[in-house]
Amino acid sequence: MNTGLYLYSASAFDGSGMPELPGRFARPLRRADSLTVYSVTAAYHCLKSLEDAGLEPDLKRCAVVAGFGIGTLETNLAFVDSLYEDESRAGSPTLFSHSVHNTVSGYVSRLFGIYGPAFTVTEFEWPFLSALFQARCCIESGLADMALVIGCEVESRFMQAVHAQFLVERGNSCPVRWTTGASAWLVGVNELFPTPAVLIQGPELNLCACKPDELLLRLTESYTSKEGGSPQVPFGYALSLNSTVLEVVEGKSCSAQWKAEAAFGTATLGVAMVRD
Amino acid sequence: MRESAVYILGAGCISAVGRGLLAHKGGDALSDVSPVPVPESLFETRLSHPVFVVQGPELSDSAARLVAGSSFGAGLYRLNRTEKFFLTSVCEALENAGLSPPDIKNMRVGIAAGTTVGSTFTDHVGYNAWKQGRPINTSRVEDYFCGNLARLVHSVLGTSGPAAVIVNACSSGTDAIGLAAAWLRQGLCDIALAGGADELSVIPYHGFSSLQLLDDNPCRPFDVSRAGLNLGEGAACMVLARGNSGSMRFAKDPIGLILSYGAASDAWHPTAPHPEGRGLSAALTHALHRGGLGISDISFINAHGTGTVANDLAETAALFSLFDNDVPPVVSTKGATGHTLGAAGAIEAVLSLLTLSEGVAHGTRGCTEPDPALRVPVLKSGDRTRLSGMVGISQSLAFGGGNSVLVVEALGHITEDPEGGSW
Repeated sequence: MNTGLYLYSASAFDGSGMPELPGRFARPLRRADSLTVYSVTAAYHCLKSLEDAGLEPDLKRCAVVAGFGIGTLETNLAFVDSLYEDESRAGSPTLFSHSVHNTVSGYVSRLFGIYGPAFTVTEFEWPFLSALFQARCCIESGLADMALVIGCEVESRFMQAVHAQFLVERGNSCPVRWTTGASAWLVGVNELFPTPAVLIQGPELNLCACKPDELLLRLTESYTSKEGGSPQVPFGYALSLNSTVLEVVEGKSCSAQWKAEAAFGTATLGVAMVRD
Repeated sequence: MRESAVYILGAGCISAVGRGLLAHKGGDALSDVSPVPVPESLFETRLSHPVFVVQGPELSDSAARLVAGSSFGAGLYRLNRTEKFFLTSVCEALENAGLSPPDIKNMRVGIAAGTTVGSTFTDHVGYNAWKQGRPINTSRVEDYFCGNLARLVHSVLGTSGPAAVIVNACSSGTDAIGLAAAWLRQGLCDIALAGGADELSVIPYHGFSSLQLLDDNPCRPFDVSRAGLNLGEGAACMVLARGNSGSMRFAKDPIGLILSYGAASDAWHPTAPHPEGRGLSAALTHALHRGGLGISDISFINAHGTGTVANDLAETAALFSLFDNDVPPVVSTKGATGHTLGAAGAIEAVLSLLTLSEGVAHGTRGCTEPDPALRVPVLKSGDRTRLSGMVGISQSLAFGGGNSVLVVEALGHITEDPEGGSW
């Protein structure tokens, strides 16, 4: 894909810097797992920044496209816990209904009144970028006018333990602490709003086969930008990418080329300011 | 040849009904299977909801040969049932299209796979052992990290191109085909393998039970006495290409067309459909509009028809909102396959194509007395209706409020290929 995609609004944060959600979300999110809460928070702040600028996107023709790697693993395992700890072995209906990856898009559609298509993709490499790729495809094929792209990874006690054990088996005993991260972008192919907009080129994704431990440990992963996110943390790439976008938005540079490399492939994305 | 159209060059299917495309053809095929108690070989359970199980080996001979020649053949990583089902359907689809892996090796091959269980970590024994302080069985974790269905197919076929695993719950298979068609229309690939796969597994089995959505008897979609769904397993795949694509010259004559695809969200409830089928109605409208089609162009509808009270009411309400009293024959095939979750949309798209090619719709297995509360008439068990055309709809609803619609056209009678065989 060579044509540009407009980035109207973006939000991103790691677990230590999660912004607040208004109290009205407390009730609808009372049963939600942390993946959903973080994702909804990212979506809310992405849309709110437009609202703060006096802009009201028509979300009736908006898609929700989410990308997760580990995704709902912890909720799945919590359901397994409920299954084995419950004498009747019935399991928790609440945990089960939250154990599918597309739970997040369901919440986001419902809470923000988004009636367009919802896609959720899963992969361990760079799922936020894959979601962005599919969002672009969705818009360019006429399925939607714009898309709210969401990525999120949450801490997993089990995967953290697996991670540590993998490292020990490979003679390295300094595991990286996994942290939660989330991001949401509102994108479209047209200039819908008379405000400064960011044009993004790509993403170009070239993924290749690799050993499974590369996908978990991410030891070979590196980014062009040293700011924002740390390699070897599952959502580090997306935080790094957001940091690059922010540099362009703040005028520190008029354009930038973000690139990630790892044993499992390369990903590139061009970012440029189109008006100021 | 319509240059901009997306052609179906071949299809493959495996389910409790049988192995292979033609095993799924005709009313007799769909009436000759019944759900059974969960086999102990799959998982232990105290629950008694019957399930539809694939009989025989999960991996076809062709698929097994391909796997043996790939990096997975060394036995480093174990393929799960979902992966085996999907590879089997992929190989059959390619064979039916008259294509072999070398034929497509130099093409840009898009692979879109829908699943639910196929993307999850299923080593619950190992997980529980870890909770009790024992070391983690990292080889099973490696299997999980190797479990990307789309990338697995690329790896086994030795191909490259766009790859996506769609995890939209029960509409995953429909959305995978719709997305792959969009890739082709945008020139992102020369040919696409799209479908879905899922295996029976402990989490959805107990999870659906906890939501009180499983029937203790064979399911009865649309029936007044329906009491829930039966889970099933299987996979289906379609080989898709654009009419103006060079890939068409390698293949046999196409068997059908993906005319259009539409999707929309209910924005309503985490697990229940909107009572009036709001999202489905929008998805149907979009699909018809995008395909330049009117309701009179539709000759057949393969509904999601799970057999839950809420689904069947919402779905028929949506159909009524669009078709009013002119609805074409409506059936559900889940009385024969069970609800195969991420595979369902793909299996049902293939079954729709077979029905359209035969020109006769067969009634819904398990439905003997249609619920009078349904807003449109449905074909009940034993009914047979000749179709007025070769264009039909296959539709899916999902947890999370997703609704997806494929409009497919058959291009003639699908019969056994006298020159058929595996490579």
